[in-house]
Amino acid sequence: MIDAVYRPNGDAGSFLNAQFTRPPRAVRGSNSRAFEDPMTLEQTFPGLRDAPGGAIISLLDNVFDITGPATELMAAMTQERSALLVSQIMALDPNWKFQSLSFPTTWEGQKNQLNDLRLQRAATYVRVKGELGPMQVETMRMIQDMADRAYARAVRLDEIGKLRGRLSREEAIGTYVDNAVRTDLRMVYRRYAVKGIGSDIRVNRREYDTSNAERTYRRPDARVGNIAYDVTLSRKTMKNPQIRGFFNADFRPDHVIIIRPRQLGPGSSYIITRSEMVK
Amino acid sequence: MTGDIASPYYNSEPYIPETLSELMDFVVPMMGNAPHFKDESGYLPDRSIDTEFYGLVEGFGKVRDKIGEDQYAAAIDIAARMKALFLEAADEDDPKTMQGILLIHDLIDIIDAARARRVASKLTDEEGRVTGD
Repeated sequence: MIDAVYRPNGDAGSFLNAQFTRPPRAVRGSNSRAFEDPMTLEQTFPGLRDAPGGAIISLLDNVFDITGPATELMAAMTQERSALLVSQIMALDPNWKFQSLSFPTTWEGQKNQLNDLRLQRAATYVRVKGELGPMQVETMRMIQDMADRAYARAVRLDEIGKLRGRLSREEAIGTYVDNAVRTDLRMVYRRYAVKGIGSDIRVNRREYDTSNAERTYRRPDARVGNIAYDVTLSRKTMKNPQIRGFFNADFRPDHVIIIRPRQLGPGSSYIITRSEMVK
Repeated sequence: MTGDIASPYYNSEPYIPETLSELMDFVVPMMGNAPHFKDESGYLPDRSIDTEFYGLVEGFGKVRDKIGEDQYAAAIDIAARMKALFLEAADEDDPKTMQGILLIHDLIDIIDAARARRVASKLTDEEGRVTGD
């Protein structure tokens, strides 16, 4: 693995070997945590590994988003992080080429490139090493973003009277968010040629529990290896049969991640750890 | 955006829903993505009104035998009218966008009706279960 600094001028993808340094103190109003690059859920949430069974650990708001003003410093940090991601992917797969016409000139474009590279890194880990940790992190990041956007659109449609009327407002919005996240996730996994689709990486597929005489199943909105993801508006806990059903499924998830739109308030999304008392 | 150039690490073919439930997942959020269907997340830079309607039409093609020829023809006609409206719409508040969204409701009805018929007739899905798929 090399440390590199990406130079946007001149040939795309040219690098100068450089010592990567930690991001400097973040600018006021930004969240420097978003520039950290966890590749497993345990790295993302240090308390997760030692959490007791059945614990509920909130996802810190904006831990993944790069918020804050689009300053030169933030752009430089994004650029530096992008270069590191490129070097990591190249180290995993020497045949991979960084395909980009130029470093994005807009702040939105720069953030999008960072997300794109993170996802490419995760897909490379799956393809080359069969490791799902990075994809579990990126899936969580994506689903949160997709849920937030879908929720905003659903609320707007409801306000103008264009959301389907047979359901209650919450049901209609919740259904819209579910539909949108599943479709976007399928599209993204397909676009990034993620290996393991349909086996270890699944969107809204049946997860069976064959431990009883009668085979039952649940359908998490997504599953990546031993992690189940559920997109919902309501708060769900181990008291919900659905959540217990996820844990009882044959693939025995270590955690169930509940993703709720962040418009619903702080600490909207959280992880439920496995409890051995699940039944 | 890195997706602008073909790469063996990307799949450039548009997504096509495979089942009635996937088609429903696909159709519902079209209401919010209309009229331009542009990606704002950065993960799907190739997304456009063309890829969206390609997926829609091909998706109905995948379930043609399940919804029946009359409903398939109706769905394709609705899709064509929808796309025409969205192409003319300036933004999400444009009256043509609103007209297109009402046509999405018609597509939802077609899918809902097909699934209900399959459940009532106890027709099974690819996994042998009566789910409407």
